[in-house]
Amino acid sequence: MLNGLDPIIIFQLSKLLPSASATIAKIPIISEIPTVIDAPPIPIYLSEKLSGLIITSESKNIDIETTVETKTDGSAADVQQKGLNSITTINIKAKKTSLGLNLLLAMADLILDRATSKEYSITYLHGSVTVFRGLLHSFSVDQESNSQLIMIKIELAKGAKTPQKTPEVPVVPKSTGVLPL
Amino acid sequence: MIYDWYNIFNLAEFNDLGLVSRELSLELEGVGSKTLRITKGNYTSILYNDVFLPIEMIDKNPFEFDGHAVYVDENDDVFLGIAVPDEG
Repeated sequence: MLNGLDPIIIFQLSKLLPSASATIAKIPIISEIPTVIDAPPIPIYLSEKLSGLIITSESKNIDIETTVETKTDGSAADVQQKGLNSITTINIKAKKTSLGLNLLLAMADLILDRATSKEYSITYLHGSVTVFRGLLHSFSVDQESNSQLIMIKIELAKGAKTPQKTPEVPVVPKSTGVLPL
Repeated sequence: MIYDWYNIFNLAEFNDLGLVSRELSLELEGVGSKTLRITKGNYTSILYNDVFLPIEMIDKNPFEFDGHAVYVDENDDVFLGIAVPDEG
């Protein structure tokens, strides 16, 4: 719930551009050149009345890997930690015919193509559970044969604050011979 | 044996990174998109197509194995060799 409105999930598709700072470093400009160009956001209200979707439960998990290294001299052990992930899980119920379900399925397919290029983000707002510019960790839809209800599970991971364009795969030319030329 | 050689990485630069292992995705001319793994052990090695190629193993440069080879030049550039099929 946000200011009395229904919970909302906002899909934001974008285009990442390579940083232009190297090429224009000698040109005196004040403003910052954007590397993320956002398309218009696509909001989906998770409301039974508006979209036919109902949130049944939601949870947030933060995983941290902890390694304890004990020492041969019996002194205090070294403790190392590494953050693994921060996942917000949203469980949703929907009718087979609901508009929101169709929208979510379409958006999930759009995002799959953009997963490697990181040209999308998902914002989720529901009371104290909020995710800003998150990434899709998993999306699943389960349907029982004797029921009109469909269970949707969305897992959102923490995204980068300033996503960078993934470098393209470099092409390596060949040289033929007994040894390289 | 004749090989198609591909300049994969620089050994000195890889050693400076202090990494144990690194995966590289490269588009090899005439081969296509491939993933290679560079691993540091007793020898720094390349894992390519399930073939493990230690650099300068048993003092052989290039080190050849199973239709593949690895060669390091005087600039520490490491080349992967893929045997050219014998047309005869």
